[in-house]
Amino acid sequence: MHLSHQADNLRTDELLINMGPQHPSTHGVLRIIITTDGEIVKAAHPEIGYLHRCKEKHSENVDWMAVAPFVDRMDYLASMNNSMGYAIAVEKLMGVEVPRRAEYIRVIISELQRIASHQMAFGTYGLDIGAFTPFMHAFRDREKILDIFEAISGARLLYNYMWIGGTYRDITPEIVKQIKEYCAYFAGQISQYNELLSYNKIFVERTANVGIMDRELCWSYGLTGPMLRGAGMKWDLRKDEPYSIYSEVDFDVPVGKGEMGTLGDSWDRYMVRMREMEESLKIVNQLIDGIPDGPHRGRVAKKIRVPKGEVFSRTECPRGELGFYIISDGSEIPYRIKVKSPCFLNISTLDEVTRGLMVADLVATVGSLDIVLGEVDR
Amino acid sequence: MTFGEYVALVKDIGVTTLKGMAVTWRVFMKVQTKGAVTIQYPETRDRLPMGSRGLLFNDVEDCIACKQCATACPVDCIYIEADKKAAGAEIDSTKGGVKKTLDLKRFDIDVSLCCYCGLCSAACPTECLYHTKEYEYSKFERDRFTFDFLNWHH
Repeated sequence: MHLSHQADNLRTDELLINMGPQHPSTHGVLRIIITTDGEIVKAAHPEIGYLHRCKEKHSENVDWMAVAPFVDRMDYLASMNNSMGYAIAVEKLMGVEVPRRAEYIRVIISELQRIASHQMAFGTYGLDIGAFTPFMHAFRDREKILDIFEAISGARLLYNYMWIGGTYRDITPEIVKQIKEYCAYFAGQISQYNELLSYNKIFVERTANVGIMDRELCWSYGLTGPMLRGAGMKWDLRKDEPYSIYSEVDFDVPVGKGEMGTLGDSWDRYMVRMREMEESLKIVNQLIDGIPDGPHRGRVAKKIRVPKGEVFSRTECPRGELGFYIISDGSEIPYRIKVKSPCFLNISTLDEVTRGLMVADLVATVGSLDIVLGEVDR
Repeated sequence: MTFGEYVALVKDIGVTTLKGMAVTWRVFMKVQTKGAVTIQYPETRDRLPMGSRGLLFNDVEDCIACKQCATACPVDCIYIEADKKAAGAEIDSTKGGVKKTLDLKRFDIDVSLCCYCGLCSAACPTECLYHTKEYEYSKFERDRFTFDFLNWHH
């Protein structure tokens, strides 16, 4: 009997693999149920909800100020951007004017937070692929940003700094100096990151042409942020629908170009993040010298009452557009706060994108999504 | 993939990896000359900046039992009980000159619930409730996390 004939008679089964919830490369507690045929992924079903903490329901029972600490805990790697989005939404509903000084501080801080978040994405993506050193570099530099944030707000990870109407505390000249020193230091680090990981041929071979998301797929799933920009679409809320003082600063929107493979592959998404760090640094450098004098918080009552009405507001977070849909019935506590989370949409593409890939490439794709499960489940 | 392409790929991998290792080597030499950035925690401690949000502390001498902190708290971990002072009792005042019309009977904070958001200390009108820089207060029993500030012993 021929060998090929024998192989035809062999009974083959699909194998069900549980990846996670406790898995080092699922970025939190994500469980992916993978149906595999050999090493090919037939279907990948992300199972979410392990980190569900009822944030939206909880917000309906605390007053407007007390929602901010909960909002911080959604995307715990970008707390500042989250609470800034919430503060902007409530301010829109209240019609409060934020002082110029507060706007400057907010934008500087949220751009630093974007750098810190992307450093984390860079480090853990390397870790997923199998490169350990970039992670140590990223964490060494992220630590310095956390030190700045600790000096500003008093906390290292969950700051509760962006308050409705302004900021929690004022920024001191020492902190301005610290931020300037950091900008000067970090400008030289990005090229090191690129030498370490971005242009490493092994890394490129692992990520280029893997997990391709073209523009149509991004649109149909409603993806935003580095996903959409990685697919070559120039869409950034800071540029296209400017909030705060983003209309006054000069920066570029980096997009994926398909340099190493196909447009919209994992490498493109990764590289968009690396280039965004440079742009964020550019924004901080432009604003840090011109912080105007004045109060750091607008005229807001101690007990906030928001007029009756509803509002939807969205801001550009490191992971995409974070939307807040807020309904107020005019009382001291919110009636409803619905969060439109970018990570939830990112993770929903997983099945379509990874079908037909190898299991190891699925890890590379999940890493390039840069999801935070705290925000997916809320 | 032809053999030539394979050789070129391997060469590319070698060159880019060596570039990365050069970065690592530079950092290694920097560590040798300037010292590491890592702090060996229990032996050496980081100096926390001003206004760092650690363990809460209430100076009950200045507390007027207004309960604004308990209202502001998003996790309801501050427990306050206060009575009206008996008629004829002496009404003393805080350091800031605010009259203490209530008799504070209980001021407990369950620090295991506290999320260190800083809303209570910001709400405090007499600035008697504030965050200290203390962060090492692990306990073996959960009920010992309820700190009684009227009978303070830590």
